[in-house]
Amino acid sequence: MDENSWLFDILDPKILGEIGPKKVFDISADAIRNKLKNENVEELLKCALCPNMCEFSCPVLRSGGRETISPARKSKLGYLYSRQNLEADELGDNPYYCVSCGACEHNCPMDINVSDLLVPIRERMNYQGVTPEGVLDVKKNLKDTGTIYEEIEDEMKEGEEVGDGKTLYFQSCVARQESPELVNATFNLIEEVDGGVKTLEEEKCCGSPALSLGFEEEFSKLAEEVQEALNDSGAERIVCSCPTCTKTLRETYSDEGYEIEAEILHISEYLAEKLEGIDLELEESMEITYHDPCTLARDLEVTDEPRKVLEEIDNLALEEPYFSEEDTRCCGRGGTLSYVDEELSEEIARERIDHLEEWSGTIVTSCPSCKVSFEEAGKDEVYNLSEIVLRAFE
Amino acid sequence: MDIETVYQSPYDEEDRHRILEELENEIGSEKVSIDNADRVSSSHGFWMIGERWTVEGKSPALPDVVVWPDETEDVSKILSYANEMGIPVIPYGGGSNVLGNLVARRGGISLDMKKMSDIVEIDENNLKATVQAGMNGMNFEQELRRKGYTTGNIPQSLYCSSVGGWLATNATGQFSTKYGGVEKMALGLEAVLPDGEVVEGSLSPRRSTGPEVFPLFIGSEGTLGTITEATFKINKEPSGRYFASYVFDDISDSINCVEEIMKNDLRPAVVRIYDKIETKRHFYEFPECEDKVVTVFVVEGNENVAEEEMKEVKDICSKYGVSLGEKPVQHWLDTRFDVTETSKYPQYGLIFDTIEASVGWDNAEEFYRGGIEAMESVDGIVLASAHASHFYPQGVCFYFTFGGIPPSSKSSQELYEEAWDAAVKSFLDNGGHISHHHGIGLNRGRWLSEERESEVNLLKKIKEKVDPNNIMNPGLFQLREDD
Repeated sequence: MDENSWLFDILDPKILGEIGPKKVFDISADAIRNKLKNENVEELLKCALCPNMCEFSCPVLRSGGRETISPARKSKLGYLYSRQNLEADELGDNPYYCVSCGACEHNCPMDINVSDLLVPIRERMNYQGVTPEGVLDVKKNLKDTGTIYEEIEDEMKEGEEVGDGKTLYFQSCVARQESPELVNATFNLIEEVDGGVKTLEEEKCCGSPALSLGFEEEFSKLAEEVQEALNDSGAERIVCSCPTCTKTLRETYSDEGYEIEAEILHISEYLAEKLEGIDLELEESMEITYHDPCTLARDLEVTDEPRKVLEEIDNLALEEPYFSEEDTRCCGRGGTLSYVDEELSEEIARERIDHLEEWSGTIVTSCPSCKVSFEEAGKDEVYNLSEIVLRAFE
Repeated sequence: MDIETVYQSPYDEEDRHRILEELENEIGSEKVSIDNADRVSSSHGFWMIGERWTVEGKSPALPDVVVWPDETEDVSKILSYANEMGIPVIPYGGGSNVLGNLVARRGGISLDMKKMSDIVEIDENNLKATVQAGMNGMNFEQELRRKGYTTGNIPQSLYCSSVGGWLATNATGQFSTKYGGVEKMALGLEAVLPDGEVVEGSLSPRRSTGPEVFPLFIGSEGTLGTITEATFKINKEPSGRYFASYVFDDISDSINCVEEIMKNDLRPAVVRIYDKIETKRHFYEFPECEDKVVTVFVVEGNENVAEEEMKEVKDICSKYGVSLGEKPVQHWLDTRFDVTETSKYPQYGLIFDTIEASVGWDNAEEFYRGGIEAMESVDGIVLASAHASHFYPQGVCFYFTFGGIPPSSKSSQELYEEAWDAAVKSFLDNGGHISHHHGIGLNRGRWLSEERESEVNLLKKIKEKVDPNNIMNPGLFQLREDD
């Protein structure tokens, strides 16, 4: 028996005739399905027909407070747009109001990820020439500088090499531009742990923002360049600070037909493996709480590793917040939201900071974007995992 | 925009721009919109026939303007303006309503309350919590849980409903047999009247100072004003929780069993009786349930008391049925928020809906069988089933489901309305109430006068006095001639 058998068993054959209930069921389904263009539209409809059972978990809705940006309503807009009931310019920026935190999918019995469903909508909006200005700026930057920024003010650790060069540190656009202390700490830490580390001569964006914004061509160009640079580097392992870079290099590339020969690790996975049995101690005792980055916790399911690393450190007390691990809450900086509404991004960050501060005034996380997001929302005591571990090393 | 609507707004594009401009002057431009994306998003909530129309790219109706107040003063200004101009206002919380309560049948303003979603106070000393009306139910519950409390109101719509919506529909939850419905939980509320006046009323723990006014808004479905804040009793999270399930040969055995439980001063938090079809639907993984009626129980509260209470419940159950252990209860707990059928079946062309209604013990079985037979008698209906999910010493709530495929002679709407008509007629014929916790909406308005015959005049007087211009969710209860 399966979940639908009860229905097929009880549908009354007298009403449905000799053709049989299952067949009628399928014919009826096909009649409607034939009107739908592709699988994405079918998924959009399924989501649109749900009463928004994930809405409690959507940070964009919680802070934005408009029905229009709730997960199922964005899908409904996408569905109506796909059916040509709505025009591209009537969608506004709403399809970009998403932080790609995956909370919707985490709470959806149909495993629907609204962020993924919106990508083809954005693609078609781009095709029709209806793209928000902030998004076009990102596209231009990706084309001109190979990063999400107009220019990278500091080249940071590009082209540096110490030791045998087996471990390559992939820094990420955000860390290079907005968190040099994180880059320095991670580079030095890998050198300390491994005896050697190197970086690419010219590090370009992994392509994830291009993909989410619906710029397939720009993604392909970046992915090809990054693939070539990483494979030519001769590194055996690539360590990323950014969970999204980790996911993109590890999973998205292979889904899209690219291949990175080296092992891809997030810094927390790398440290959990390398630090086992090493004595680490902070000079001054510290109480912290740990913020799980959405992509790391939900997509990559890496929640034990950062905790294992932190628990290795003497003189460090870790307070678990209420919303943690897979139930973490977003920092506000993920996905495409910040390109169209920085203010709302910051509100989401403040909501998360308020929760975390109930456990400790000092936040540790393992994503450059989360750190920057909290800092921009006015939080000073926020550190990356690498910074804390390096401090314990010293 | 190319969206066909079933109900037409009297306002045109020029009117919309005028209303937009005037409301922007009242509350600020960032809180008002006439964008089609916003209008489409607030079009109908979760009305099943509306869902069917969504598949076809249609909509029941579209509001002309959407507003997002972020404080009570905004709500007051919006209603005051709408009252002066005679523009309909439809308060919109989580959008989970299933009866067309949120349909802007005469156009007007959709009042999206979600920006008003803060906890005002959790008063641990006096065991109460005050919250803004637009707060999502689950977010409210999570804020309470992390401090060790619960309201006890856990509806299936917990994840997608607002606390204001709970009160406006006089809702109840899956644990109601112990905790009661929201009318038992509410200690007070703040509401804005159509003329913009703000009224507040709350009590704790009890008072005898004339008739309470705030209960008027409980179940009012936005027809008398807009709830902006509410105070609820809170309970310490239970220290003990016990599960049991039983199978019965027939639904009459299970009804008699639960009746005896309720009349013996026992109050399980959860009791759910599934008829044979629904047993097959929900417990297909349990072979012992084949052709049986399953009933699940959750008893919770003070650990020692709950343990004893569960022993008593089991003693009574053993007289009528056979124990099935805890697994079916765990299965129910794991799947109780799964409403994926509503996403799958409209795509298959299946017209379906659920109807909850209540009745006293003396007529419970006839009420159940009458409801099923009435729905089955409608040409095109291929499925009729029910479970019972809320119990009282005085009676029970049955939650019916019907499904069908329109024959060539009927439209989907005709099939839908015929099934509803048949079911509600049987409820009234068997001495029951036409709704237990979903409310009235557009779907049930046509029977309200029959259900509450002797109270209709008073209800009309209240509406006419409080909302003389009939701007608040007009047409919903069909109490006025122009409804």
